[in-house]
Amino acid sequence: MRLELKDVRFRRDATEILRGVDLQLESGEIGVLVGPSGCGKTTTLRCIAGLESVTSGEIQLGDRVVSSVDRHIEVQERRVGYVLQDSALFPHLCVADNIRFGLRKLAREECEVRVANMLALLELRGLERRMPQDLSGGQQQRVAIARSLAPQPDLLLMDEPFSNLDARLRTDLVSELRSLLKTLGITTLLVTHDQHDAFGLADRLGYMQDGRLEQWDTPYDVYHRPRSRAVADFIGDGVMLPAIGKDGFWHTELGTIEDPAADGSADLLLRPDDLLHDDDSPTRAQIVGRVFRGADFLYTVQLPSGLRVLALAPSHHDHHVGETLGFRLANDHLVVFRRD
Amino acid sequence: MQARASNRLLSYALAALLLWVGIGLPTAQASEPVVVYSARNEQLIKPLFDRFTAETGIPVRFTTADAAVLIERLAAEGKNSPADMLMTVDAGELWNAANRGLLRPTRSKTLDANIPATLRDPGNRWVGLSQRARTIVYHPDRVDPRKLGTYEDLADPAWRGRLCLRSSKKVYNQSLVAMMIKTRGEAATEATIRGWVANLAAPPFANDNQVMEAIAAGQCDVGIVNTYYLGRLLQKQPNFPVKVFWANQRGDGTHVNVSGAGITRHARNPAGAQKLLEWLSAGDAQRLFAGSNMEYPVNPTVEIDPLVRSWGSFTPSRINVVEAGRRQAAAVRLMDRAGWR
Amino acid sequence: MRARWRSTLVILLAAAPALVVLVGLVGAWVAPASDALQHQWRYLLPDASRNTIILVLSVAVAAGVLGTALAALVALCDFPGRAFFSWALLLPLSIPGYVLAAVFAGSLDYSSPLYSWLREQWGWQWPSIRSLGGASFVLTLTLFPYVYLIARVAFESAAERYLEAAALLGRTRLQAAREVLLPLAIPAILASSALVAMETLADFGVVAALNVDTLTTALYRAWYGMFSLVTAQQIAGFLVLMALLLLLFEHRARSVLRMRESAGVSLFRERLHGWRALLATLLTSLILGVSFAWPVAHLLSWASTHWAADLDARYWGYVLRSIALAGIGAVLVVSISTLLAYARRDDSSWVGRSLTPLATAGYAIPGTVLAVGLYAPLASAAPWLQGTLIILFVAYIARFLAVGHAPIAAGLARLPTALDEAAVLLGSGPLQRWRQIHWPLLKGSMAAAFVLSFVDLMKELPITLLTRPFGFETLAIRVFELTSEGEWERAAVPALALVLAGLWPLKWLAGRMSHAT
Repeated sequence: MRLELKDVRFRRDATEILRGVDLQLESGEIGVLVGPSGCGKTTTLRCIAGLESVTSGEIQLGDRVVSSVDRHIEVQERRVGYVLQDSALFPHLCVADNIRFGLRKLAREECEVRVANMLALLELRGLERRMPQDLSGGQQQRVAIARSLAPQPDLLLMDEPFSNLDARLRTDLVSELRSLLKTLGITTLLVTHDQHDAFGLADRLGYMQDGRLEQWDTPYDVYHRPRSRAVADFIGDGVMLPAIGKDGFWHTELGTIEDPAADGSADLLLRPDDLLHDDDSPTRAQIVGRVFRGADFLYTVQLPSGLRVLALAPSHHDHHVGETLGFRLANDHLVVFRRD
Repeated sequence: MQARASNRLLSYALAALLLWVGIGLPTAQASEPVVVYSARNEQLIKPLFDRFTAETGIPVRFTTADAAVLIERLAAEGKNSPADMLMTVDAGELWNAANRGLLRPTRSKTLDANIPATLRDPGNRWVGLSQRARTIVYHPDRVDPRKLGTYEDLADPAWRGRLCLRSSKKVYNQSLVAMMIKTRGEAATEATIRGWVANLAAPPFANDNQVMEAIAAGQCDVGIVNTYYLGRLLQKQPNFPVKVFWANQRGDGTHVNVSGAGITRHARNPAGAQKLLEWLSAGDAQRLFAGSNMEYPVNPTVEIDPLVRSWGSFTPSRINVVEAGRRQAAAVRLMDRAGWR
Repeated sequence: MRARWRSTLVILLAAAPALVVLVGLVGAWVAPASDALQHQWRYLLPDASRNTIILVLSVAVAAGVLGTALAALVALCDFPGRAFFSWALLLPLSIPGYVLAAVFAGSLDYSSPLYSWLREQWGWQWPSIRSLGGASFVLTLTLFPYVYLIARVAFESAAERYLEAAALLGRTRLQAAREVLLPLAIPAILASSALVAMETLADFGVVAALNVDTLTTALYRAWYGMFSLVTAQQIAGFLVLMALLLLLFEHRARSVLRMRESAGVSLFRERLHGWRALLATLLTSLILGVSFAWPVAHLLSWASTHWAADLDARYWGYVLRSIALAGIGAVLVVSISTLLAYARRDDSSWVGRSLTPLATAGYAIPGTVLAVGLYAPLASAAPWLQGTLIILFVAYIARFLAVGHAPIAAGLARLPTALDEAAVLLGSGPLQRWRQIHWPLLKGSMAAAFVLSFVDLMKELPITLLTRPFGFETLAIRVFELTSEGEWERAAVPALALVLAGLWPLKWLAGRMSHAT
């Protein structure tokens, strides 16, 4: 079901935690919110779930306004599933009973079918009678997801669902989860602090800072067309390259770039894949660090001015720290942040 | 940081030590003290002990608790017991203590002279120091005292639903029944007790005050209580509508128990203890000992409290109170059989 | 291996005082059956056992329900007066049971002014307070704070996210409290109800004041009336047996429900409005009124004629000694209970399993029997102990270990073992681990244990009475001295002082506790 937030604000005591959040998520889409801790991601979820009442603005689920200044539909009437950060499985109930907890309005048979489906879907068969404390972290997280999905909510919210898992489990669960959610066609909004999870899952990606949603776009656009320095800093690796605009060109230490709008002084966002190793290039830089990543190397190189930038190179280009190589710019689009 | 913590620890330790010393050790004593284990309340005995110390220079140290507990304590401490004297509010406990060999005989002409023989242990191991008369009380508007006579009469069906009694758990009732067994035998006594139980207007009460309050409130018309409880009620409410009737005056006399004391087998200061005992049996001490609780003195020469005197004189039972102790267990069994709770 | 051996030793040491007493009781059973016991079997014990069982079950259930309901209300809801009630509901504990019984007998029995007036004016009648039902009523009123306090700590330490998870799955707050928080608090409720049951088993004061025949009155009848301590000890053996059955039952129930929680954001309280807020305030006031304000008012009216004569400088001494004894005693009880609870956690051998309930069974033994049962062997084995406070504190531990152990064990059971494992992996030593991980999570339970044992020790009588040094008087002893000859009006003065002296520490501790949680 479609989700829309219009200028949502939330204040606790004297602190304004959300300062106007606007967001649309179409039915069946997966949205992901990233941002530094304390930016308001979790609060946004809590407002959508109805665990907090908004101070102003409006939250709409389908065609129904669920939260506004003078309207607050209770949590239990929103049909929203929420996977809490640490799963919060009920310790006194076994796996099956935890999943069954949200199904009490269903007839008995239907309820059993639903539980069995969930157990199958999340590969929890055989664990029905286990108590939560006897499960591994990954299993607990699956149970939590199953529990939230079982009542077939209109919207699923997930708060850091992978934070307690190790890296491998995490990668597995991310891809499984995406296909699961897509199969079920359930609208999902998820919070994470890990951009790799975000890229793996999101149809829409949002970056939050200081209670504002700085950008809400496709992951591609957020990466390649960040709307602010903060977004650019947070999403993907990158360095700001100082540039002076004159006569339709940006002049930088790494060469010039054509841009009809070039004017004044600015910073250009330089992603690692925007800088290529080219022995013919007049621009020389010294390698000061390198990370082998299997398919490629991520080099840190120091320009004559002392500025350090990142460069990506295929892994057969094996160079050592201390070597000086030629580099050239290879960006197919330009992200400019003007200095005022 | 560490110095401060250790300072604090030191001051705590010092405080604990002070507390310990302040409560645990006696102050320097002029002469050997007499140590009393007492089942009689602190407020009834302390003024007397203070006066004894002032008059004789002999200090008295004491502790209070239930007699049964003090007896077990004496027995456990054995030779190491600090106690010189055991004081109780009931002859049965004194009999029990004597019976277990915890008291020593004392030959004293003063005690023999001051205390009637029926109120002393025949083996001289303890003496009574005050008499507690347990008799019939009634509501003057609803009971004609001419219809009253003996304890046994209260078993008559005429009193059905008009009698209030205290619980048989209290030793005062146990010794009353023990004495009845002594004079009339078990069978007759049991019949009487069954009659009492059948006549009860309300389940037995937890204390004598409640019995008299029930009489005053109209729940019942007669009861059996220790007179000093009535004395206290009358002090507060001079018009309290309950009167004393001296039971069994034509026969064996009204039942009395004693509050008394004996010198312990392993007493360290038996001479001092005897001096205290003799002092308590005579003169002002005797008047105070009984009077402070509106009991009757054991020493017939001592003046009786005016309020107590207003109830008139009575003939007490002529049987030695030791029988109350000797038959107490039998009395308890009898009351159990008869269903007196 | 070595660690377990050490745990066993700790359990053994903690259990030692109670074991001394229990060995004595077993000794009484080995002695040839006295005919006093046979007599009691025939005439007293069937009824007494029946009454005891009814009393114990009814008080445990009633106090369990009342205490849990109040704990839930105070922990989960906000209503006018909540802050006051949160500590004031502990106050009924500060009135000794037999004083409360005397007050109710004096104010509700046939001859009381209230009943007389209602009877004469309106012809009202009600069943006598001096009955099994009356004893159950009085004991419930004086004991429900045990359940209230321990359950409140459990509710307050439950994490808000469980309620949120339940709300997200379609539950109202009330439904969520019933379906999630209540099951989570059940170990604590069971543990505290077992405590109430044990205290009821051992009670003599209330049943004697209301003349109800129970096993304890049968016990004193054999001892005081028939001079047979052996019979009394045999009956005390029954009581211990019943207590052990209770503990076994409680342990079984708890192990079925074994569960561990991790810490989290603690609950926020739902603000009640309108008639619901009014109802909450009124009901709580009513309970506090009946169990505390009314008795205290009654005591005040009794004391009004005597306070001038009786209240003097000596009272400072009584108050200080009462507080000092109760304070030191409670620190000992809490420390040893904590050690016992940890040792029991580490040692699941049969020694640890069987000794722990024995260590806490002393709470079901009437204080006088326990005091004599401990004093006699200690005083004859080590005469130098006579007249020191050592026997007194050892006896306190023998009797009150259960009071400290119940909340701490319940609190410890809620801590996830994973916490320990994580900490061990991070290389922290036991002491550091305790201070950094357990103390913050356990301090609420420990404060509860301290409050309960402190208040219990303030009113403790038989042990203090028997083992105190000469001339050592406390408030509880003053109450005893005056009531032993029925001088209730005068006894109201020290009884009120006892309540007042307990009030300040209660309020202070309650403040600390709410910071702790």
